[in-house]
Amino acid sequence: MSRLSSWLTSPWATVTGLVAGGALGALLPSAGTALAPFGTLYLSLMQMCVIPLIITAITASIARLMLGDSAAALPRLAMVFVCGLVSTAVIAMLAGLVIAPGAELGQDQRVFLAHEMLRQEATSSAAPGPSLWTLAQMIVPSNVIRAAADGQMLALLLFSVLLGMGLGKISAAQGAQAIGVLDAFYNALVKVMGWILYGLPFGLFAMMADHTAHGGVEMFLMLGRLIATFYGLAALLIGGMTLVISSRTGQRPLTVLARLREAMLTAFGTSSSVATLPTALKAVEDGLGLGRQTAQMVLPLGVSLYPVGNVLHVVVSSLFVLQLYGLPLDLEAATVLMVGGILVACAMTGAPGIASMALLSVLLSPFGVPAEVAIVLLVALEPVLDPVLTVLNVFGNITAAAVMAPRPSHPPLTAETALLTRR
Amino acid sequence: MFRSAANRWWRTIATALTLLFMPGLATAADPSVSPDIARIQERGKLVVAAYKADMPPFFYVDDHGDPGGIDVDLATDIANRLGVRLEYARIADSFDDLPALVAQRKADVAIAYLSRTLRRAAVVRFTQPYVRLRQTIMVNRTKTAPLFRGGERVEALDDPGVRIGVEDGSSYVDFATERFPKAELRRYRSNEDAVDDLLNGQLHAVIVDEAFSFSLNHPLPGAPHYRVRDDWALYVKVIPLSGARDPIAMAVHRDDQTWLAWLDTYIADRQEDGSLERLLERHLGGSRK
Repeated sequence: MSRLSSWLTSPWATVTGLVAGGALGALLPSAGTALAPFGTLYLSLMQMCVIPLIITAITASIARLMLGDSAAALPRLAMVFVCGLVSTAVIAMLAGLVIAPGAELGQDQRVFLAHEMLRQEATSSAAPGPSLWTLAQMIVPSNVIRAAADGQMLALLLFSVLLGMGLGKISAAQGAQAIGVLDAFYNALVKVMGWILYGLPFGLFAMMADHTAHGGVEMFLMLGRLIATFYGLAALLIGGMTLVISSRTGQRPLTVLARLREAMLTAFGTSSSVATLPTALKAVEDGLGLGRQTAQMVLPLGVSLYPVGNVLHVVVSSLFVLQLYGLPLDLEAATVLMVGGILVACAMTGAPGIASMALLSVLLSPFGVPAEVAIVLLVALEPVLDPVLTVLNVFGNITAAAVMAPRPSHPPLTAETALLTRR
Repeated sequence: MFRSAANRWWRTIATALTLLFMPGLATAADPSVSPDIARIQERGKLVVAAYKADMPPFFYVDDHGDPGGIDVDLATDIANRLGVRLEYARIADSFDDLPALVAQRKADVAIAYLSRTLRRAAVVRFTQPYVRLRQTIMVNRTKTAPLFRGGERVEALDDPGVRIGVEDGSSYVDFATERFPKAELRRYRSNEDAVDDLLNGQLHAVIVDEAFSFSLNHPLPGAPHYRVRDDWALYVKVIPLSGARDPIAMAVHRDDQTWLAWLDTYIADRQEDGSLERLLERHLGGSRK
């Protein structure tokens, strides 16, 4: 039994599930589609524990911060998030300008996009006129239970942070008691997640089989340059972030990648950074040894507030649309595109559905960008890009945790990391 | 080829055949038949006025040279039930010419994708509509993005800076001036020409009925296609105009009261047995719901 369980949790089982599922879906699409309900069921099971996990983790970690008089960590975390997101947006923008994936499309590519537009517009109803106010409403819930039920992540985060701060400001004894209870729940949820993760190879098998059964080959052929831009940028950013983690933890880059392997594979297979959260927590605490306090604080917040992959997705897609229509890009438009891209990216993880993307249209329409095209593009590209972008989201999140973590007391300094830290 | 070439012999034979094979039908021999219907039956053919150009999905000549479409289907069925031949007078240069043809008795009825409007109702009598099309507006995506600000606020197009194209001599000239009085109206020879200018960025919008925009989207196999670029949907978006309907009806001479009532009964019958709905669904999809 123990041999079986240790095999099931080994990365090889995960890889086997992913590859076997992918192959099955590609070779026998009907079998892949038939497995879809099982994949969805497993994904639900994984996500089941995540909302209580997020609430307990954030509340307890923030309360501990406040009690320990290290509240300065919060503004620092905000700085890390903002800097990371802005630099991602700038990198995405520059790469988009240099590669210009939307310029000079061929006739067949334009016809393909036109048909994609017709297909998507036939299925979606007219968007209600959204506004920036929608975002504010996403963050401030009137009813936190309903927000949790609707999966309004941003609203939950606000509530958890405030609750944690409140716990930190009451008497120390009471606060510690509450933290003890929250920690107990957190630990129990981690235990439950551990059991659920035994099924990961099978869950990934079903999810990948369904995923590859839907093809997407035509999309690759038609929008090859755009997709290559995404994959290239993702590889570049993951490489850069590996070096950052390596320099912060004192582990060699390849070791870092090996330690994060399971989290990456889960992110790739599930295409859901929320579902990957428990695996990522485990990787950060046990794999990188960054400490529970950091992991508990940064990762759950980062799921919604630090979506590096989504920023890349939104900025490059918007730029693609601008180039497609030959619209000019001045400084104002570029700024709006980047800031809006970050806001929309956060809203996308915080609130499910098209509503968040409709924000994009409000921001970009003054520049003549038909945002419905950008939205359709985001939706159409999702199946092809989601696995990679989720990996990027999770990786970015772990990097933020590494930056926030206090340096290990006795780092095994290698020549390589010594060089990096000196720079 | 569609012009009537009255042939005395043929008429006699047709009448004789009608008498022979359609004993159940009221015929010219029956003095109780109202004179306006008797006139058609005595002549042995039903002359239907139609527009000159092909207008799928209402009437067109397909790849094999056969006429097809909603109106052709209806006209053929009506002629059958009257026990007469069907002849088309496809001589109208514009839709506004169609009522005139009927008023001058150059045709018995116009079954030709004809919108019922007050202006035309002063010339001819309309039956009840056999289909109520929605009006749709095709907008240039990039030109209207700053006006719509993310939504689909069609009212924003009622502005002096906005240019809207319509087909000249069609009911859409009236619809457009009514709905967008402040916008600059440009008339085009055909919807296709208007859409050309829309794609070139000369226009903000073109108002058309949903049958036109639907056929762009779902070309009928075998039917002629409208002359519009394949990638149009990338640059142009179709928005249904809420509350704006375009009733399509048949038109007859103002004196032909019984003939009008007969056609109304015909439409009501086909609505009741569901066959009209099936015909429309085949050509227009479920889009009208």
